[in-house]
Amino acid sequence: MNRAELACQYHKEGYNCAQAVAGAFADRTGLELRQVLAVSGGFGGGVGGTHEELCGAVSGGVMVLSLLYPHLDNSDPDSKPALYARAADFRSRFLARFGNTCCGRLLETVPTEEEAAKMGLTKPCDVLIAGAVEIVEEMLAELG
Amino acid sequence: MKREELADALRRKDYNCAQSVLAAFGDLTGLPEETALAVAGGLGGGIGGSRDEVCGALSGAELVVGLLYPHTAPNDLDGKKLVYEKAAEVRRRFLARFGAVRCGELLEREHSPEDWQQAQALGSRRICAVFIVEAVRILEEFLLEEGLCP
Repeated sequence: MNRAELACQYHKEGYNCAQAVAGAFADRTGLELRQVLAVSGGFGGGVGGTHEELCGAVSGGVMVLSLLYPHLDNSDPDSKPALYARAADFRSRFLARFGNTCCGRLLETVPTEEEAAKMGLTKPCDVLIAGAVEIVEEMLAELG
Repeated sequence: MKREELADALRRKDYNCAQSVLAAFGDLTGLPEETALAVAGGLGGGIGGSRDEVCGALSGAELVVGLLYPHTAPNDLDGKKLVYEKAAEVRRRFLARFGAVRCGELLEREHSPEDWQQAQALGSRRICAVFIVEAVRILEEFLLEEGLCP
């Protein structure tokens, strides 16, 4: 199972979009899966299922990048801007691919349940979840 | 040290809004400071300082909510519903306090003279210092009501 499939599997198990994306990288981030799922639990459906705010798949992806390129020590002046640049880049790529970053706006564009089923996806938001995972992987590949 | 002082001290050390709020609740979440600083690192200034998206101080509070109402078992729809309700309530309170939740919008809004005085008292020219302290207070008040905050 690749990471995008793993993320969609978590989503199918009832985890939210942020949990699904963050959970799919748990083996690389060094956090226990349980911790990753807990910390991202409120970020589904754009903060607590309100459908306002940022798509949880993006929030989850930013958490992954944050854990992989941690800004921990301010004696390294590059640490914060380097992570910010990566997080902003990730957001830009998601925006370029899906045309929006807001949960509610994206829900107007995702496939219907039927269309999603034809694509082999169990839930419409799987498109966004798989996309976020792919963008993180693409960035990790570029960054080495 | 009070949690709001802890958060403010982290802000002064140039940790972002989300990191400052999340790490200040380490006593309740059990998350080591280093882990808290790591996971919230990209959620500052909207996302990665873009000023788009959610205020990082609120994101930090929502990370705490997730940890205190952990939804970590498959097919646990009650657990999911619970953490969503709590997360939405914290967002609602932050919105009621400041009239917005998006980073850029919050920065552009007019804030009360009292809020600016508070920023000054916190040694900052930026209103974000107030968002951080207030996000801590809003979350503490909520958790007190919930019986989760001693």
